[in-house]
Amino acid sequence: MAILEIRNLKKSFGKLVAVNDVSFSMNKEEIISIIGPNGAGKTTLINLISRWIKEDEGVIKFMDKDMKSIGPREAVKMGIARSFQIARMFSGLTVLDNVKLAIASRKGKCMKFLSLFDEDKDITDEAYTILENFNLSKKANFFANELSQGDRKLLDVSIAFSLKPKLLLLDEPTSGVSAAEKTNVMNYIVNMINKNKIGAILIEHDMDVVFNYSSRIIVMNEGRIVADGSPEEIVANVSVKQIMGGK
Amino acid sequence: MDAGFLLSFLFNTFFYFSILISVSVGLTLIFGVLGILNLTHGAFYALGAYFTISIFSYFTGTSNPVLYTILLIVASFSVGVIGMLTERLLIRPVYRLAQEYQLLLTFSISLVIYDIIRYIWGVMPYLHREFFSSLGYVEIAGSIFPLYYILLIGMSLLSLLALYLLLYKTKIGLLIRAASMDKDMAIGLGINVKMLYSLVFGLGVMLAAYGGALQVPFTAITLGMGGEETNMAFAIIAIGGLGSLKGALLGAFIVSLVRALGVFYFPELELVVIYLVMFLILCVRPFGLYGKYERRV
Amino acid sequence: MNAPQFRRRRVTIYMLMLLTAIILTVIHDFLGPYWSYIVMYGLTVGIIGLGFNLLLGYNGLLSFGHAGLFGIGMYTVGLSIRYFNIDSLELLILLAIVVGFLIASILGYIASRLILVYFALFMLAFGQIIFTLVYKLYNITLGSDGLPITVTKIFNISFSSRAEFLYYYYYFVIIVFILCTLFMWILVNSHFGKTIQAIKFDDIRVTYIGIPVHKYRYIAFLISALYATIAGAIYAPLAGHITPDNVSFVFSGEIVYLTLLGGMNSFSGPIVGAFVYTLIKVYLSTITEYWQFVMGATLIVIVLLFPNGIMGLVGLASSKFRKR
Repeated sequence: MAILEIRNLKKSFGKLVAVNDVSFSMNKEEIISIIGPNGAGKTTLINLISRWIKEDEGVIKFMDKDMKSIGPREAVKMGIARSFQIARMFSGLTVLDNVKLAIASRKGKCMKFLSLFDEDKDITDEAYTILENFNLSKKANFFANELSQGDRKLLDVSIAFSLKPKLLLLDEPTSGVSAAEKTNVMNYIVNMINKNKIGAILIEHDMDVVFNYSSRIIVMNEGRIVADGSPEEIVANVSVKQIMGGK
Repeated sequence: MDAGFLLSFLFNTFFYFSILISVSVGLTLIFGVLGILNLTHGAFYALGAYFTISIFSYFTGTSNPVLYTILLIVASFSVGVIGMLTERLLIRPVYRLAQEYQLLLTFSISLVIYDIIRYIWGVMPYLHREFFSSLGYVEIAGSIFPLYYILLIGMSLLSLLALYLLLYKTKIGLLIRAASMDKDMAIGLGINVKMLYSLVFGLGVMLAAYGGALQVPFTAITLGMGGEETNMAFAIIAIGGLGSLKGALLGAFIVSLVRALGVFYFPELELVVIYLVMFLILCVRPFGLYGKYERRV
Repeated sequence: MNAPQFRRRRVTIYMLMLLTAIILTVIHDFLGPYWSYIVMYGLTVGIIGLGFNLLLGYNGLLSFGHAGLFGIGMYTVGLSIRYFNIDSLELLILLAIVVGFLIASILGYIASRLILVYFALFMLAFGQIIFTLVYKLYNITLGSDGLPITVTKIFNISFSSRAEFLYYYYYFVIIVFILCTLFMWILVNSHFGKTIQAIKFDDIRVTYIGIPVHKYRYIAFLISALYATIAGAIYAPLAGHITPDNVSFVFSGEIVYLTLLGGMNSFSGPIVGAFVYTLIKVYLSTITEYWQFVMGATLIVIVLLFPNGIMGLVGLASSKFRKR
């Protein structure tokens, strides 16, 4: 079953056509990496799917539902979660609280103003479980702004995971992460993706990451999809080599 | 409604506009470039008026309007320099802090300036009539207008023109606009953004002081002066959109219009109506009419 | 903080509140009318501070118009006495709450969609609207002459004189203060409270965990406004005579000041700030008329050097003490 269906998607910013007639389908449990040079439209595509911006033309269907009039919040409720190119988190709250809040939102508990957050055992327990999967549980009581760059990325992703999404959108999950941490970060992420049978779309620049972890690669250039296939097919594709500068 | 009424109504609108536009443009310029809502603006407005009247007082007895005009500009310029120093010493340290702190800081500086004014000039009102009287009155279409009012409108429009030329026809204006659009890029291009910020702040303050200075020939200068105009300026940029020069112009026009109407239809409460207009606009446009807020995700 | 630690903290806080109530009650007879008044004033201002800081410290929004909300509470009481001859305290306060709620629910609709700078200007304008109305509608509000306030009944108990009224009013104010503090403490430590703080740190991320940011901001605004209204309603009988001075921008500025003084990043900051500010004001008004300068200068120092105010310094000192 296709969880995501995109047909003839188009988005312009003034004269710049950022996403130009993009179409593809995605099944459950696929890990798709989107690669391409800067300005290819990758982040715009993620912003469209996560409903940060609305498309000019085309159709996005998630779980067979037309997303045209859906905003970011409803998209989250429907099962789409994302992380950000520059990791976003609640910097003044602890790592634990960051994750707890996402869980609380998922459970619809955020409106409660007479029940004490720190004493909510269920949410706390679940949060610790998630943090352990990302190797952050020892840093649970750190403030989010005290984390290293790699950990910040992991926290951003773990917040997204806490929402128990059906589709995960990860915007450059390893950018800014030191080479030493990169493998760990990706391992934790992909581990969770596989364990929970989620579909994921990654934007990545690190080709090692891309080829080691994706089941499918989409190459974008100047707003269009140039190639779409398995890693082997993409490697063999000559025009892709040209676009990516012979990597 | 007869022609006389219409004429005086139009005139009032333009007159209020001219008083308010200088202050509003200064305020929106500072926000547009530095990203700071300058709560000291009113204090510098008052300071401009006090400076001007003090300088005028050295020349009491002279009746040369050209001289007074020059003195007015000199006074405004001096306050602008004080503004630059204030930015350099007190405001620059808070750019790295969250916006709430910036607001709090400019708020506190205004309190200090107001009491300094009180200390230096006291609570009694100051008056200087010579400039105003030396110009006399003119008759236009059956109504009599003080010539100074005409001069004020002219000077206000000239300052707008000068600002436009500065921002759009000079190199430094280009740098200013570049820095306002993308600060990091400007730094990356080697532009001395820190210096630019001081300059723009000084310029904005000078425009505020200029607004206050223009009031001197026909207003009694006391401690409360400028409070109303300052609040109007805040309403204007909220209506027009913080950081937008176009917005400041449109906002000033709307506010002046409502004020001119107010004098006839709801006197004493014009301010309330202006604020309600502001509320209405914010209701449908939370960033003002021309305000834009780009959030990168 | 884990659950058992927090439970201990919670019990400590409850004990502290109880202790405060007891101490204030016990010292009452030693205070005399003048200092009782000061304490009541401090408690009242503490209530506004708590409400104000819900927006500033916890949600990152700076309001320069809380005096307007205070004024709504004050003048609802004053006008109800003057025009409807209501003299029972609880009814007056209830009326003030209702009026405050109505006005704040409309205001909040606009306010909750505004980012910091527009919010600040919006509340500034609101404060000015209320001030102008109160000041200029002389026929209704008696303008700067002010409205006299006499309340003779609390819960159907009549008092023979103002002095007697104030004596028992002291206990009433303490109760209201403790209730307000308790509710606010639970609120900021609740799921809702944590969400509000998260909105301050990154409202986009909050949207992306599925939270309707506007709705939460709206409720926080409503609560903050109600606190200011209640404080105003409490203040009116205390002052005995209300004027537009307490609706002015100056007073809004003082609310900002006391919160920063006590510490905007701590729960008790506004309360501590309220009392310190009251004492400073009482003392300073006897030696200088340049109170604005003092406020501005100390605020500059606070923003640049001690952004966490008095409670911030207390926190630093106690952590150094603990390290020994």
